[in-house]
Amino acid sequence: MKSSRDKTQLVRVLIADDDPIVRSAVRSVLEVSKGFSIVGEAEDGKLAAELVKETAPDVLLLDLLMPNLPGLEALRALTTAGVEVRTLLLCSAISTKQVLEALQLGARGVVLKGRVSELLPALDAVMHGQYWIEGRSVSNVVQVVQQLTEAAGQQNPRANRFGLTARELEIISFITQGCMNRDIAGSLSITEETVKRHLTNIFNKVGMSNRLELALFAIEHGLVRK
Amino acid sequence: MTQQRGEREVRTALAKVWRDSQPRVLERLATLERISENLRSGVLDEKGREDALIAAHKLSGALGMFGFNEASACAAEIEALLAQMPLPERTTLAQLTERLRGLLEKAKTSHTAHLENRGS
Repeated sequence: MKSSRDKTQLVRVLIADDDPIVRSAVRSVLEVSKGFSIVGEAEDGKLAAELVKETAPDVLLLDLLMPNLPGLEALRALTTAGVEVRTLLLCSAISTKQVLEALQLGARGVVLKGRVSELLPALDAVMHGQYWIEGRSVSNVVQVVQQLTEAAGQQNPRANRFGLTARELEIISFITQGCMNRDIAGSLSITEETVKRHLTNIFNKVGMSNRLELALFAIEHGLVRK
Repeated sequence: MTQQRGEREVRTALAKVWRDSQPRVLERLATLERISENLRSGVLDEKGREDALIAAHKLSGALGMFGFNEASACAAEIEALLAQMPLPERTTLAQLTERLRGLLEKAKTSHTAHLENRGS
């Protein structure tokens, strides 16, 4: 996802919520705040997914409970189709399990409707590559996911069923800590090339395609020690 | 725009949306009152319950956005009650709906002051 943008450029936002009152309130907050351009509004999940593809917004504000396609399913459809959009869930209430699911589907955070004052800082955070979870900007999402997983009582360490070697597990552990290849190479006294080769093998073994997915997968499957 | 001025403008904008949303909010309340009445007379159908469930959910979300937390929580309670199977107990639903009306009446008259003082 592109992160560099002209500071004077407006942030293009798509609002997806089945309640016209909520859409109107969000629109008014964004209009007053300047810096934002509303590229579309969707009253159901299916339309939201279509409009994301059509308008390519910078940020999708997505409600959970919507007709036709619930928010998380709309997000899943976008992720499956390879459509990249910074998604912030905007909902009345959400369970820890749903937060985890949303993050795994690529969401960048959650803003509760009862805390709409957090909308602008949350948008700012995600536009700067951060996540917005539990009312604060977060850079190490893996750590938060780990905490949430523990809170949800979902920590379920399993034996290594993926045929990963000890070295690969070691590398996964670094990935979950947010380390870059050169950091890993330095810590393990190997070259960055070797780290890349290990990562390719790891991705193939667990069926993931990027570092975040891998980190989330590792935590979920208990592949790393706390 | 200074942060303080920005916040004030956001609150003023929200106060306007709240004023404009009154008819829709009252319509949703009426949907809840209707189901409460239908429940009393034993003529509640599944469609009526579904409509009320949606109305309660939307009220909860929208009221929360305007900072009416007590009213939002009350609507959420009604939503949870309506989601129960079998049908909810009539007295509790009637009491909650009545309470929500009271909270909305209060919100209606105090909306500007409330929203404009919010967060200050």
